Amino acid sequence: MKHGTGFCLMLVAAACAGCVSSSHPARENTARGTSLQPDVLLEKAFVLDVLRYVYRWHFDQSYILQAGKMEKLEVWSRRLHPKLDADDRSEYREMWIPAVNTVVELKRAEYKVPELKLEIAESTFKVTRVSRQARPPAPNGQYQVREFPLEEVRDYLFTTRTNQVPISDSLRACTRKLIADYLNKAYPERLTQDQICYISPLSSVCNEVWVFWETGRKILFFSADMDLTNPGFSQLSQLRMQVIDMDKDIVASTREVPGSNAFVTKDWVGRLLFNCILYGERVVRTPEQIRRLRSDPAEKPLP
Amino acid sequence: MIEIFGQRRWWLVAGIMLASQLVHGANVELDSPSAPAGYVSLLLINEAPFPGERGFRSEEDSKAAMLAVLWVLHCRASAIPTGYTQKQVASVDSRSVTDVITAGGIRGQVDGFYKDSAGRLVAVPRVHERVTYLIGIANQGQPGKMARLLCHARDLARLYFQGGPSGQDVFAQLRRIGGVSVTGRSYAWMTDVRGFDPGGTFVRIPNADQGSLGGNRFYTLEKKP
Repeated sequence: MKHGTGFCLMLVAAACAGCVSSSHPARENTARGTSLQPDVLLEKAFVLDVLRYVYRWHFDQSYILQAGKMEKLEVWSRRLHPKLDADDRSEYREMWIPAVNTVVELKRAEYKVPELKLEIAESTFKVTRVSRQARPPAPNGQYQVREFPLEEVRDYLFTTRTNQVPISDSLRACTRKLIADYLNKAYPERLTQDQICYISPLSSVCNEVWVFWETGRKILFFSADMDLTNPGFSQLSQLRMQVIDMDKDIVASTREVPGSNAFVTKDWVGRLLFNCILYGERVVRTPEQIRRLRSDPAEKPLP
Repeated sequence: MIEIFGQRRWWLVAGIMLASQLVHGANVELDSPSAPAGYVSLLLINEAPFPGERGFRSEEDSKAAMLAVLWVLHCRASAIPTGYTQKQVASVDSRSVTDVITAGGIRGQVDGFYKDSAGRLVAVPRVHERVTYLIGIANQGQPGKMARLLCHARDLARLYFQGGPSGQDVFAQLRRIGGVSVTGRSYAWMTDVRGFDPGGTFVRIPNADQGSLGGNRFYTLEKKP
């Protein structure tokens, strides 16, 4: 608790510092050279969800800048125009949070995959990438800007820092299927002891599920270009699933194995485990439940 | 009886011809992964997102990612920059791209691609499962993006063994990233997710320099004096 408070206060300090230094020509008005329509990305509820996601998965000590005295947190947003396929109506946006020099890239997917008879039509934007850099990726004038009361942001992040997004039945069913499919492929033999998994805290602004399989000492990463509740998610996320073997794939520093794409760092895995164990959902299944799960992933397990 | 059979056969042939016009399957076939070109195409398919998968942006973007991955392999095999040894950059001493791919074993330079104890080119099962699945859905109905992406990977790999990468290296002219002097060309790629980083003297290529392709992040090298 003590550390959590301190961390949040440091975040606020970081935000303050950014606000002091940033100077945006479009702060008072709508952005120049962009659509004059209000940007959906700058709606308060959405911004807060994105900030909470970034806070949970990305913020660390290196995000802390010098304290300042501003009372507002600026969030900049602009539309991106990547070249898409002719039948693709997806939208791309970018959010720049100057206080912490962070770029958040977002996508609202809308296209069809005829080979799978699958229609992807997301109703909201989802985070696709978060990165840090010294300056905004585009000239200031390309952004719309909105300021949010810093105290409100601070209070929101602090009070929700341990919140879990409730897992819906459809998502729970989807996750069960993902795990069952993985076990069937990777561990077809009968499991003889209780299996413990932690499903990562979910966010309404990203399409990712991490699963820490404690008994198997693996981390599984499922993600697809669609909402987790889309029927196609379990099918397509299996194809690009990442498996991190906790006994083999973790190093203190990637400098130990330069150039390899097979390793992740202990620091990063630490964050992942923290989120999964403390804020995720713990699932324990007996060998019998696992057997039933394998034979029928759609079947609801007994409580 | 013979005449009736002949009539039936005529109708059968006509029916097949008509059906083949109505539903023309893609019939994608890849080269054997045990041969160098087939193995390289397996990697290119594995590293590029297909529609619906995480990181998919467009057919063109996924094709560009395949070409960029091929250039990384090529540069690791044949274009080591001044000041570096191939061992430092690719963990191997060889001009062969398949040696570059399999350097370091199963958890070596390219995750999941390695040589078995008999020296055969192999990949972990999940790679084959995905490719088999993609071929299966690509061959359903009319040829579409899935089929085109698979064929593109196959053809890129085939052409590579005839005369090198068949396309421009978009990173060849890079000389500076932020305040860092770089060698140009790309020498590594990673899944573009936080926590994945090649370390060493690899320098992240930013979006403005097309460093993000097909859900992957590409890296060049710091220039050595």
